[in-house]
Amino acid sequence: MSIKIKEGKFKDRVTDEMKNDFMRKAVSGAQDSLGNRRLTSTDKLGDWESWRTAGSEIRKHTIDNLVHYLSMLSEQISAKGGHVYFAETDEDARNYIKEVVRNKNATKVVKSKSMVTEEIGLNTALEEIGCEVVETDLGEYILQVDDHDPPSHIVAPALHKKKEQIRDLFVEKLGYDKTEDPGELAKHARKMLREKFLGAEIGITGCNFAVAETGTICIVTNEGNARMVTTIPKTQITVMGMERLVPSLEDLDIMVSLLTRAAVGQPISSYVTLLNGPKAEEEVDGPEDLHVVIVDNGRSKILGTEFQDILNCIRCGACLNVCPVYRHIGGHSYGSIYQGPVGAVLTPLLDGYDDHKDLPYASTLCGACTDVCPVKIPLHDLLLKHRQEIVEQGGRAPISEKLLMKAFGFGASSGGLYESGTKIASVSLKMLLRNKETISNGPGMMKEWTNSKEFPTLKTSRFRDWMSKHESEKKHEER
Amino acid sequence: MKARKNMKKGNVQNREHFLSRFADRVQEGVPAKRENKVKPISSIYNLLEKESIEDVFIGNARTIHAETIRTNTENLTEVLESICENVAKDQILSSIQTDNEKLENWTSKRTVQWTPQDGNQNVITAAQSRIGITYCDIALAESGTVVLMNEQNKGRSVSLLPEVHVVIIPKSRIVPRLKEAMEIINGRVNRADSFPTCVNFITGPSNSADIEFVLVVGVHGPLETIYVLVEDE
Ligand code: SF4
Repeated sequence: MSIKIKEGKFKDRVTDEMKNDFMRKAVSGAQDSLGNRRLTSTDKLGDWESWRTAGSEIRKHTIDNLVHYLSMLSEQISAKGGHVYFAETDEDARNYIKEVVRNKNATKVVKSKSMVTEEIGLNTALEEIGCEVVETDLGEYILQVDDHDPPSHIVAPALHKKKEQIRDLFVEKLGYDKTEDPGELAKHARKMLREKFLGAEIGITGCNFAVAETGTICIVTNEGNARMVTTIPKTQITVMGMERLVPSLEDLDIMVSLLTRAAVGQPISSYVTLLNGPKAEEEVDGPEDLHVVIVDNGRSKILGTEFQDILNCIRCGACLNVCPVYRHIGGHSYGSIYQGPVGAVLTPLLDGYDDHKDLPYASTLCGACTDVCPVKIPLHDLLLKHRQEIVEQGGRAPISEKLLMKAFGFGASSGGLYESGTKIASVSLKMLLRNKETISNGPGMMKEWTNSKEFPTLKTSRFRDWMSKHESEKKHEER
Repeated sequence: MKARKNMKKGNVQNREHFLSRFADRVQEGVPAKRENKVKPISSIYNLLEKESIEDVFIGNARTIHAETIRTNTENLTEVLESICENVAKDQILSSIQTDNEKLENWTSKRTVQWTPQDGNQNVITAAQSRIGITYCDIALAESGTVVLMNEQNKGRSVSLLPEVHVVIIPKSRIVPRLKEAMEIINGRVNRADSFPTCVNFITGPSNSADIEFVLVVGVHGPLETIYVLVEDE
């Protein structure tokens, strides 16, 4: 897999995906339940805004001083006995990792969840040199067993799968003979994967945060698979995007506190693992060899541009969970391993506009994503900036908003959604106005926004009201 | 930094070229010591003015499917015995370092002890054990979390591979939240000669909601977690 997961036109993907009733119900159910849990957990923490502010300051400071912190991180990892490789491209990263695996004469690889390894197409590369690569996050394992079905949510990759489908899949591929009960299915996966863990030679992990001052790798999971991957195999390879670090353990407290609440509404996940180098000589379990691969693959291009804030992202998925467009079109429509608002901003930056220029239009610009982001990334501003960029480059918008909104199921009549907006900083408004081509071109949603000179912002509390109203309107239209 | 005995420095490859490509687009040099302008404060501290830290801990542990048994030093081994009732010695693995003689006697009589000299056999034992018993280094009231710092005598597998994870928690080791734990760990990580290579924050048994968003308790790690809270050390 690489960043791009699907061929074809964006609009066609949307039309296809929207026929999948189960997916749509699963997505809205997940959005509602995660939304409620997130609010409960953030209320309990206290003044959530002050946590977001601190989080965004830490991230901004880190990215602004990336050369310093990456140097420091690599020094610290090396001082604790770990190897560090700086990979400029996806190919560099694959080659280095293949080399490590070859040097160990290894063929058995277990992996815990890592978006960046998807991004660089690592599994295929390792399979090509004769490795068996097993994904061990339950959701990713299911997708892998299903001939690499792409993920549809950055935190819950198999959200679009019915339990009956999973049962049939397990029956067909894994010798399963029980019911579609999620508990029984998970138990079977546990059994199958336990064997893989115990026999694995190489463990590959992602990295939620690396701590520059201490050389610590922090991995956050609920299933415990990342612990397996860093306990049993003798060699550990951790692959991280070059932006995934924080200065100190003090900062890590704030980032983890934000991440688990924003992602799943938990004060902390079941496992937060801090790794400081390989195991000590006198220790029994843990890797003898640790390799940390720091990947650029298009990230450094974003530095110093007006899109730099997207590098602050901590991949919590909260912006997906509040997005009305994601709710309607599901993850696969984005055609990227990164979905939702973050995917719509990040994918074209990493992989170019050619294949992804429609994504910035997969938004109502309601601003719910920006409101919810734990590190205050101005997501809908960045989407607007993309649109402006696309029009400047191509002379016109690639897709009519009106058609798109219709395809999303919003109809052209949901103007009410935008009336209640409050004014937000006019910088993006000005941009939009400059961007005549995009807006004056017909009576799409954009026109209504510019007419009112107000941008719609949906506060999360109001979002649900709107959703239910919209749902009933939609049913009405369908009748 | 003074290295651990026998420890070799790792290689760093392609750093200079990698960083040089974008050095002109970020700040130069060493940033000034940074203080967060806003210092977020958890509500846990207000709660702790009203409720005892162990009650808050136990309440939060309950929400993450961890059962807590309260006891004192005197009765600790009886509690452990009752948990391990009908489970044979070779099914119970422990990694406990303690000055408590009674506890030490009990673990040597009733459990297989993590023994670094036996190498990988420890991991095999862990994979076959029903119960793994650990002694926590820190516990967090806000989230019902236990923190284990793994070392020579405290293997990573003990809290991971057996079906049931039993954690002994001295009351004095409960701190309000992650913040205090990070301060303690920071002190250790910078001690060049004996930093813990692995620190695990464990909050209840493993779980997943990857199938239709239904919570399944017990995926790759333990299926069950039991906390034994000891009133005094
Ligand atoms: S953009 Fe913000 S809300 Fe979205 S995944 Fe990243 S950190 Fe989370």
